[in-house]
Amino acid sequence: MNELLTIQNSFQDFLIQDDKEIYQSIVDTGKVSAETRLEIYRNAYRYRLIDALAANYPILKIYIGDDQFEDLGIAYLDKYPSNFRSIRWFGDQLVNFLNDNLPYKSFPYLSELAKLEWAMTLTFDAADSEIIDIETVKSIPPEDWAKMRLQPHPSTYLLSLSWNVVQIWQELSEDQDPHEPIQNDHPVNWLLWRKDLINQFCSLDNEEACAIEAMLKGLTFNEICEQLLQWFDPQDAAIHAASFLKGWIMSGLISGISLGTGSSLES
Amino acid sequence: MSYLSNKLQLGFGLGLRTDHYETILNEKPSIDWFEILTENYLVSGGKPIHYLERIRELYPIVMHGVSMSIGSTDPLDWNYLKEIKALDQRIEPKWISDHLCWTGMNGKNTHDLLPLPYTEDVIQHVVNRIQQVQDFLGKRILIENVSSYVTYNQSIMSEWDFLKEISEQSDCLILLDINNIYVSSVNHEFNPLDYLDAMPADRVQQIHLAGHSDMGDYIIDTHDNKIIDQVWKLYSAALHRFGMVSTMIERDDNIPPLNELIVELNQARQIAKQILAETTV
Repeated sequence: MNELLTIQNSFQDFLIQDDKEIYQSIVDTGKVSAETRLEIYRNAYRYRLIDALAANYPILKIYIGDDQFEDLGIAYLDKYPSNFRSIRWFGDQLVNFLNDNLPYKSFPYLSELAKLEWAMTLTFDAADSEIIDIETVKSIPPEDWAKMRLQPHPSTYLLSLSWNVVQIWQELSEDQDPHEPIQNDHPVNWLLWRKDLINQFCSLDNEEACAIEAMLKGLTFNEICEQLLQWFDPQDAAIHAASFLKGWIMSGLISGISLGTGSSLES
Repeated sequence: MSYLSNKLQLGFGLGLRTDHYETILNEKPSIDWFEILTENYLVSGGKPIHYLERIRELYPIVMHGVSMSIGSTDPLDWNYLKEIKALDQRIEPKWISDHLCWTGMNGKNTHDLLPLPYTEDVIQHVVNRIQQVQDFLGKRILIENVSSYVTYNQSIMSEWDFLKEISEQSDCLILLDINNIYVSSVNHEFNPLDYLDAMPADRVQQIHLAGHSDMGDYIIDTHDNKIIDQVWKLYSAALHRFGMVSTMIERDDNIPPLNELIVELNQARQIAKQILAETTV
């Protein structure tokens, strides 16, 4: 298979880095030159992957415009060729790319907008799971609450964003002119999840974001309460945690509750 | 051979596209079956899986992949094949297909269906890999001819002899893309009927039809247009040779409302009906 290996190696090097060695393996007909024939593949390679990038970052594309997005796609593709079986995952490093490379890193809100859109794709096709209702929690004896571990819906993501990119995303999604990018005084917490197949998002205060983060880490309800002691006294912490839990259940964020001994409660 | 062969006949289908999910569920249109792009459903959950589960309750489904890279010099991707097998078990498609091509090497994926050199060594390489895949999946797969724009100096046989040999030696089935034959016949200046004549009729399990972009000196397979007359004629010639074959129309870009595709699908039905009438006189 040495011959096939050589051909594939040089063909792929041509597609990815414009290496011309493959030319010697291609028949040059009078009608269409080898160069034209190979360029069909190179163009298809680039534009298929730029289209895939646009599918994952549609609002970023609108925000920076088609030409800029094409330049971004080509630069990204040069640095991060796909190693995925499914093209759906192409673009997983775009946030890092925008953070690390000029001219993009001079506009930090671009990477934040990308971060938001990538999280939305993860929420969109995350695993399905049942969600519990309030009766499930009511069935847990009070003495067991401390050791409850809450299982968040697999589509749950918590983001901390320093710029008003959610506002920009919403405006562009509704074909409105976007606001100027503004850096917040403090990072804002955003929660993303999926309910009834539709992506949801909302902002959170620091206390609730801290509790969600603790839940996502798999901490017990008691440990979530302990996290809240930086803002509340012990009794208020428990009341707030219980209030958060009720809200999460109502929002369809909780898929199950385990009691630490292998037992779990699901709808 | 008889017009109605022993092959599993699904009739006339379309590619399942997200734009049409709701219309399909609400209107239950007269389409016999759907082909899914396998990779679009190798996700954990959400809308893609939800709609697929509902539509498969109403219509037969077949799985059509683009990433098996059966001709690559990289080892087979067993994790990918495990995902294919899991989806196969979950949605119970009528069959699974992929392309006679390679898509990448050294762990990279170009996401394009790249042609192979037509040599004896490559035949053995591909046959061995198809057999491994079929053993793993526990079923025969369909291999599709791709459209191509280059010919390798190393090739020593025609594409149709290459495909025929591989299908017979690996005992796989064939997904014959009529548009791809037409596109390649223009790009490489051969008679598309020679291609049809060489195909082992009993292995042609499915036919693809599609539109393309005519660039003058060559054609690019874009799946974004209506099927042209020459491709319809070639389809007609194919049915004369192979008898009735499950047929579907691929539209991947510039996707129109479902009704427009059904009109095009009905044209395929009419051609098949006419040929059935001719062959049973």
